[in-house]
Amino acid sequence: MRAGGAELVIDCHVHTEGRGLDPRLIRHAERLGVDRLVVSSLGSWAYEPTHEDCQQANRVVRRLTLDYPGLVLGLAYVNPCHPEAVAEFERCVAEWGFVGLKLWVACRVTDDRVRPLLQKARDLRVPVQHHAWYKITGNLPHESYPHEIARAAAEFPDVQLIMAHIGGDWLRGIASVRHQPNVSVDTSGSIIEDGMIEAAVTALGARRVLFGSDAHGGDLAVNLAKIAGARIPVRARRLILGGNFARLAQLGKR
Amino acid sequence: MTVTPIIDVNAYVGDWPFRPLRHRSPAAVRRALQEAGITRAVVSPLAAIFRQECTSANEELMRALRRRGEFFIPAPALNPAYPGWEGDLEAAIAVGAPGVRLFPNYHAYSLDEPGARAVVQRAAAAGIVVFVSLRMQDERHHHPRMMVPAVPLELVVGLASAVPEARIVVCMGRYAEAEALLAAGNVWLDLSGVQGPVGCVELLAERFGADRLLMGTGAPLQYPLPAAAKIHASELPQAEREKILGGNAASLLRL
Repeated sequence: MRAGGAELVIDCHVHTEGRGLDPRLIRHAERLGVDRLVVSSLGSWAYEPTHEDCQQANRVVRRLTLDYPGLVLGLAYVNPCHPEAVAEFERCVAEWGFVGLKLWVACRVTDDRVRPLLQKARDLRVPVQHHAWYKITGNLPHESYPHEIARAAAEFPDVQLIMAHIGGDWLRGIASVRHQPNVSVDTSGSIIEDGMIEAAVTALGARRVLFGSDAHGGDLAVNLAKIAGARIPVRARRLILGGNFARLAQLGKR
Repeated sequence: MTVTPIIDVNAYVGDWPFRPLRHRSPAAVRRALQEAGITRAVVSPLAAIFRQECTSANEELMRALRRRGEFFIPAPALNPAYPGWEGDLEAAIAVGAPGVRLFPNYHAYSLDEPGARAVVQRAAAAGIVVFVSLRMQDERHHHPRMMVPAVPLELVVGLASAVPEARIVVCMGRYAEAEALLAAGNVWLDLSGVQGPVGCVELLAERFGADRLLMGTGAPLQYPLPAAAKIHASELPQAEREKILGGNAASLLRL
């Protein structure tokens, strides 16, 4: 069965498990009708990884794109604090065909050291998936807030930023980025609060909302059901489930 | 053809003060649950969480459920730290409720206090279940002036062990908390707080067996569809999926 009746279903937020993908994820993806997994490796999940950690993580993803052609698309993962990060990002896209950049919690998105990466994303015309969360319990030292995603996006209006997890606290996340048209949100993660998808579509428009699961940590069926059960038009659902990531990453045009 | 019952053990009606809910009345919540394929739901009043006394909220719930057929199964709320809880418990038994629900964190008492044990003992003697709400929402998103920590797992297990004849359903536990909770043989786990990892339902069933896993939605705070979807999508034999979807709850609640 095609998930939500979409033509192409793309899970835009997947991480590796250990040094690969758990066969369980592949089986669930096949059964649930997910056509593409956009995968990044965060290596050992260190908050401030070394450059070598990131290179190793990207090699793992490169291997997966070869082992699962047509299923796995890669995102390059770097730590912006290391000056070699830009070259690593460019290599992953130009030589290995990765479709975007993943940034996590090593460095705030507004940090000067992120600018060269955003400039490179603009030159390479690939989107940047950036973690962001507003936690009342306290963010990690270098974990970005949703309003910081909006600020960075305003400085680079021709770079497409994908704010992961709708910023966690989704009401605040949506409010933070709604007026910044080059920020989209992905719906991945453990938050399944009623109305979050409808609120994102209403405030941002369906073209700025992307389906993701955060697998392996997030369950694929749970995250698909958030989209499948939302009261949104059929066309919006199709965009969210795959059309939007295909457009942002220019799939089929590279 | 026999229709598999799909029973939600963690549903509510009413308002939530921190954000607008789309479904608040029993009719609206029922409609949302039925659209997700759910056939019955154990329901408690959200108002009880924010009042120290639960009597008024329970009475409002029972009035609202009148003429609502058999879809809803009431689980009145109890606060053993407030005078008169014994009357609330007797009222619940009198209306045939198969369980009562505790919110120890919102009502600011500890499960190792005598009142909590007295509730569980009396409920066990009456043959009804005690639902314990571990949390209502992700702790990272609480109101800055109302941050409510989750109920400590060891206190749940301690209480269950101290009253072995009790039957306790823990609601909104996480995947990583399942092992500690299910260590007590008289604890059942509602799955409304389990959103991962991939294949979480089959992984739990493989590790702990399917008999003490229960479908719950957390509606109307949470979307109802993911609760059923993750069970339907699991790599479990149909008989085990049916147990988790509703068979276990039907047995436990003696429906």
